[in-house]
Amino acid sequence: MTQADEPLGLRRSSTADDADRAVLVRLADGELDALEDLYDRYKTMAYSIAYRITADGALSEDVVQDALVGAWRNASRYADARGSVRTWLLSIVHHRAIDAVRRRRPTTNLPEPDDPAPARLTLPDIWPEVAERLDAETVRAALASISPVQREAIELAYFGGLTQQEIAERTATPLGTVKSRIRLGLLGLRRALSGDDEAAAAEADR
Amino acid sequence: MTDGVLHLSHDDVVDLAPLHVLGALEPGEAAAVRAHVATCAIGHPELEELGSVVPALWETVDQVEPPAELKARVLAAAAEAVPVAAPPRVDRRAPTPTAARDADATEPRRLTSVGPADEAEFRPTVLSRSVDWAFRIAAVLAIVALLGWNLALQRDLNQADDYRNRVAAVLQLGSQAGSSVAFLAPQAGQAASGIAAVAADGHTELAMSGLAPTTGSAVYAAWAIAAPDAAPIPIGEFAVSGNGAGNLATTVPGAAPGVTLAVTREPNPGATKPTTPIVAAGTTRAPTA
Repeated sequence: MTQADEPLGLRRSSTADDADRAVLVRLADGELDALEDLYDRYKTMAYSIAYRITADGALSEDVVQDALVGAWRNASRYADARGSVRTWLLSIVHHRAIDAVRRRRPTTNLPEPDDPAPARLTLPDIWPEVAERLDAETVRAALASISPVQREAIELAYFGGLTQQEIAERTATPLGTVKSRIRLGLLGLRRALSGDDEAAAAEADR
Repeated sequence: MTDGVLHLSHDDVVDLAPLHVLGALEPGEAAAVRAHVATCAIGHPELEELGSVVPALWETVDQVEPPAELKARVLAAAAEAVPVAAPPRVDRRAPTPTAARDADATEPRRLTSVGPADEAEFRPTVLSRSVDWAFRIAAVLAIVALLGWNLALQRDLNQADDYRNRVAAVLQLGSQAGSSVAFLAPQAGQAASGIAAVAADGHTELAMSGLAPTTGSAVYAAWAIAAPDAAPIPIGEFAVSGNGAGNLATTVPGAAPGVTLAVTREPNPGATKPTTPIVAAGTTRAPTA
């Protein structure tokens, strides 16, 4: 059984990261076998994220293909960078999927292309103490600890591909409120994932 | 915003950070955030703080298995794609460029440049004790020099051969039914030019020459501009080595004759819009009229 067949709540460990790094080095060396390994390792996670965002099987396949081929083409540039391969790859998947749904959305003109900032800028590796105990249950509990409106705003933004304006319109909420909900929601999540539940609960009440 | 580009203050970026890490900004705003952060002297730790939560959201996604055939599709697409910024491989055992290409197909590319350590591998390890030291040193120097010359020649041949193959790929693609072709002419003050072919399915081959080599994190970025007033869409990036040639195999969405292809030299990978003047550009048209 490969890692990709494990539940999404896979506990991350340094062993998995080491294996990822080894795959990346082979990828940067131009070994197509390494891409196969990377695919096997993350196909379920990548496809699941794409499907969660696009709700379209064919589009999700395109997204996963684009992301993997992009990783293959850019591995040698990324090989020297710090950060987890998993975060790098799945960030690409997320971005491509959001791009795909925004392009498809009938009310939206073709947006300016907007590649994500380098992963280390916006998506640093989750801090180590959290990574060690991260699983789906923990994350769901953390999401449950923030207020429903904060959760809704985060999910509309991250999985819905909605801009802040669109979230404001969709939820009939002023733009400033959307911003503060997302900020407080993310901070609350961070506290909850760090185990500081009381602080997170206090945040949710604000 | 007099120049049409959004400029953000430090406080603006702090304010937009939560939306930025979730990808919820309008594209122009996101680009402005990145532009600010790239040069901000104070720094934006809030981006890391807030962004660090984001990968956790992946754990909440319901698992869906991809279809089994996707793997073959991905690997086939990758086999056609050209990895970016991998330095050209120098295969010193290859007597001819053709053999070097064959070796490339089956062996990993070298990532390290040829340096003193590589030359040391060729130093003869067994020499007759009767040879005096002066001769021995002279022999070693001569061998090293010869090997160095061979390596340089081999590299040039490989690069020239690679460029020729790339141009051939463009011509082959451009001659297919439904394909269109663009000649990328140098823009003011530039010396680079190129040729590109776009197939009916969007598959695109681009071969450029006369480009200044890339250094550091710089890359050349290719852009597709569907109409005169349309925003450029990034279609790929490539590095350029000492011979000034660069190439790209990519896909241009909504491919049709009349798409303008342009190349810029970007200081960093991942640019979402051109940040530097166009180096070369040309518009695709059907090869036969």
